[in-house]
Amino acid sequence: MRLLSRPELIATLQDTSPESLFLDPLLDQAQIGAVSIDLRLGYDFLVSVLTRRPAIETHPVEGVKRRGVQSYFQETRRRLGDRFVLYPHQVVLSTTVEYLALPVNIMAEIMVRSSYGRLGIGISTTMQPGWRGTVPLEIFNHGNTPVEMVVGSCVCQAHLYEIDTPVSYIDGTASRKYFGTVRPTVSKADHDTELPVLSRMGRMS
Amino acid sequence: MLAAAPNRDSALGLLQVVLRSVETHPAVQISNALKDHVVLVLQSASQITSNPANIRPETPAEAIELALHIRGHQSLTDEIAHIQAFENIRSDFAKELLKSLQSIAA
Amino acid sequence: MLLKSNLRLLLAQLNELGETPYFSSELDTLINELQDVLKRLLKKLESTPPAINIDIATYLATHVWKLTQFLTGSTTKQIPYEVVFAIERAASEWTTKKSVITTAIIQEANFFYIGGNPGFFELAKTELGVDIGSQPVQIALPFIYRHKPLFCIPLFHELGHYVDSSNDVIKASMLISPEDVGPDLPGLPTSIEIGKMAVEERELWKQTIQKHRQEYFADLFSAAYMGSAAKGFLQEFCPDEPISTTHPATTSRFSLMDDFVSERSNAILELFQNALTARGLPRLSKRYSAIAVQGTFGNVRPAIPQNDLEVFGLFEAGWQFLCDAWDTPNELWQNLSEDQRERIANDLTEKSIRNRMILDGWNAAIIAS
Repeated sequence: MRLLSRPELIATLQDTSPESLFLDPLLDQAQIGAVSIDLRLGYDFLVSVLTRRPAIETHPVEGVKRRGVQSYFQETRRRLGDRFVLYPHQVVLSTTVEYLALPVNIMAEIMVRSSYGRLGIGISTTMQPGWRGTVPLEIFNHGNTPVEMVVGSCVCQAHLYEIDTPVSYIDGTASRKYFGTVRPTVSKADHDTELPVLSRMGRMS
Repeated sequence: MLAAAPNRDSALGLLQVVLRSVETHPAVQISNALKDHVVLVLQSASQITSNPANIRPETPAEAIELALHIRGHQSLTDEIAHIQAFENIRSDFAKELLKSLQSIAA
Repeated sequence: MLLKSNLRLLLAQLNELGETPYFSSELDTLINELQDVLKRLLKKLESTPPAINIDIATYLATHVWKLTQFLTGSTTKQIPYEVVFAIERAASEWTTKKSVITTAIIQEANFFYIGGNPGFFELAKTELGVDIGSQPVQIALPFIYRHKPLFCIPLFHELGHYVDSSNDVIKASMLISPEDVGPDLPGLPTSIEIGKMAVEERELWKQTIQKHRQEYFADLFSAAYMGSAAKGFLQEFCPDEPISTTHPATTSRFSLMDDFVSERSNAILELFQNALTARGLPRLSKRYSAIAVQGTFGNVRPAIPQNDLEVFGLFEAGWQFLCDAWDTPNELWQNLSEDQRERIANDLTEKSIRNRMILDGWNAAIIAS
């Protein structure tokens, strides 16, 4: 696995072949650093809200009516340049402004930029080779002070790694839950196939 | 696309309001600018009714709608043709025109 | 008593709207102007005797109320900016006044497009000295379509109704070419037959002809921006509706749109062109540029429209792409479910438009700094 550097990032971005790296819009070439690409906070948000339920259920209990995960989040939209306040210990789902298409031999590690990490903001995710979509951001304020963020500001950075063996993110065998999304999507953990098996184990033991 | 074209508030609402004032409160204030506008609408409608080629980009929407409405009403058309100033609008003409416009939402 | 109370309540509501943190700043000026109308109106009513005609005051209050209703929809945090952008750009080609678009997300399966009443603006100016500089326009679309630009194609049909009603295009056409002159409309009595009818019966057919002309106009207007997607959507939505007093049969609508898109001459189209010219408006013509999306959407990437014409072209291209991907998906798309194909096609269209908006805004901000 090899971390791509600036000349390689620029070259692969300029390559217009269907298999190349795609990032749009790239508003400022300065976003491309020595070994990373800065990405911007997007304009769609899912804000976690408190409800009367004691917990978000990741897997429904058979025969019991369950509240969908979506209901624990409230949708809101902004425009670039608008403000968005992240409150202490709040989880907010967003995405990057940039739409990212990864070649089958490149993966991306996304993490918060130091300027925002120092304010208590946490962002960390991994994009698999072949990914298509705006990059999902699970943003958490670890601090005890609300932080006002500007929509469109560079809040995170992507490190791109070339892998030895190309993999296909989307094929006939695996169902990709977040493929091609352009706005934040709530967790689809309840779609994981092992959960029904585990439920049965629980009932059998 | 299936619902009919929305019934936009008629452009004649303003005219109806002014005519109502002429009919019932002839002395109550109406600005000179509004009087001039109403006369313009009536005169434009008269010109269009006699010859639709008189429709211009600057023709008020109310004039077009009024012309379409009065086209089949000879008495109204004749009366409107003689209106040169706001003071020419008689109370009973206002009543007659209002009655004919009753079906149109203000 | 009630009139003054209503005015004060409306003023309070407008104050609240203006202070809402998520309110669109573009509407601030309109809010201020409406507040000005209300304040001046109250002042005139409070003098003894009232310094304004009571019927006029009531009319003004009623229309401020109507305008305020939809403004509350713009405080929603779910504005479909991308669709609004396309609508605003299209609307700007048909009016000299700046359009200020407010959006309401509604639960019903309907689309609305309503503009402010010209009588209200005239009265606000002549009686209160308030010159409202923008043209408030209110659109509403279904909640489930808020992220589905390809399913909002009907908004351009509605925009056609708005352009017509705010400029009285079809009414002008009824004066220029009355019901007993033609052109004859499919499925309706001929102009010669109508000319022989009694007054009452003729009046009824006049209303029907006017309504049919309105629908044909809105269809052609939509086709001017959406191309074949205007017909395509209608084919999906109501493929075989019969003629009614308010609407032509969908087959007749398809035929006219086909003629327009194929640039074949048509008497109904010519009628509208003459009316548009009389009203000082542009003629109906193709107002979009084709944009190829097979290479981008086919690879699950957004397209990169270079200008407004290509933004409009995205709707036709996106619609056709979705139809093709639904029936005969390529290698990448065949791994996706129907639900995913619909979602991704709409999302890519939305993202393509949004990226164009962002680029325009960014470049404008760079130039301004």
